[in-house]
Amino acid sequence: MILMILQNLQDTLSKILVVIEKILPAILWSMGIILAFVLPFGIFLKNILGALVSHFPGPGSGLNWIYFIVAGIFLALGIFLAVKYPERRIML
Amino acid sequence: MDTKTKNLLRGFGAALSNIITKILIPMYIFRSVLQDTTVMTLDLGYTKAKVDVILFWIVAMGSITASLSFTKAASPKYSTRKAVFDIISIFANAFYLYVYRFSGALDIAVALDLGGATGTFYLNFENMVYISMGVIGLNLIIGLYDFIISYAAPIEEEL
Repeated sequence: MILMILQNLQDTLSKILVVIEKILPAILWSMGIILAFVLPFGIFLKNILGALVSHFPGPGSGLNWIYFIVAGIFLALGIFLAVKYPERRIML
Repeated sequence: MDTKTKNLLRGFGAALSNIITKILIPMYIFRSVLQDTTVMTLDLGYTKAKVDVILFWIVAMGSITASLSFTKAASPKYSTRKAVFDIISIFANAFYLYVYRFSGALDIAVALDLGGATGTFYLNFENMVYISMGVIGLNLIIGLYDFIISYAAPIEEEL
């Protein structure tokens, strides 16, 4: 009886180990990619954006409308291009 | 339905989803946080002035990302302009994400007052921005790759 239980336990553990053996490299690789590429890239981008955003007009300045003008320009450009050139063209 | 209407509908759908997820939901969350501080004993350190600054940046950058998402979605598939607007949109999204840090939304000073016991602790979510920025950086590489393909080896759509 005890031997049977131990045998079942061993079978279950070996099945779990097979799954872990398959999953573990994927987890380690993804962690490695995050540490090697994503984090340094993020810190790099954050530093660049930090330098740029500090020059943007804030809520205290009287230039808040610039954001809405930029948004309006992109919207108008999008509507114009979608209506004027609805099909894909080279360079458009 | 002709192609013009399809493009416009696709664009307006994208812009609407962007407005809901990037302006309206954050606005609702920050407004509700501000209202809850008067009711709860938990003070998150968000004053009205601080929330106003955060909301300004969210609305300003959110409107730009929404209009860019319209322009991107309204462009036909595999076109050069879609790739160009995709790259600009990735930059705008990076700025949008950065203003959360810049506006001070990620610094939370929690003051607890539980009758006899009081305490303060600080939460800083700025490191999360690094990972999100890294993902945006990887998206930027994919965007540049799409642009090069659309420019150098244009894919013909199946007719």
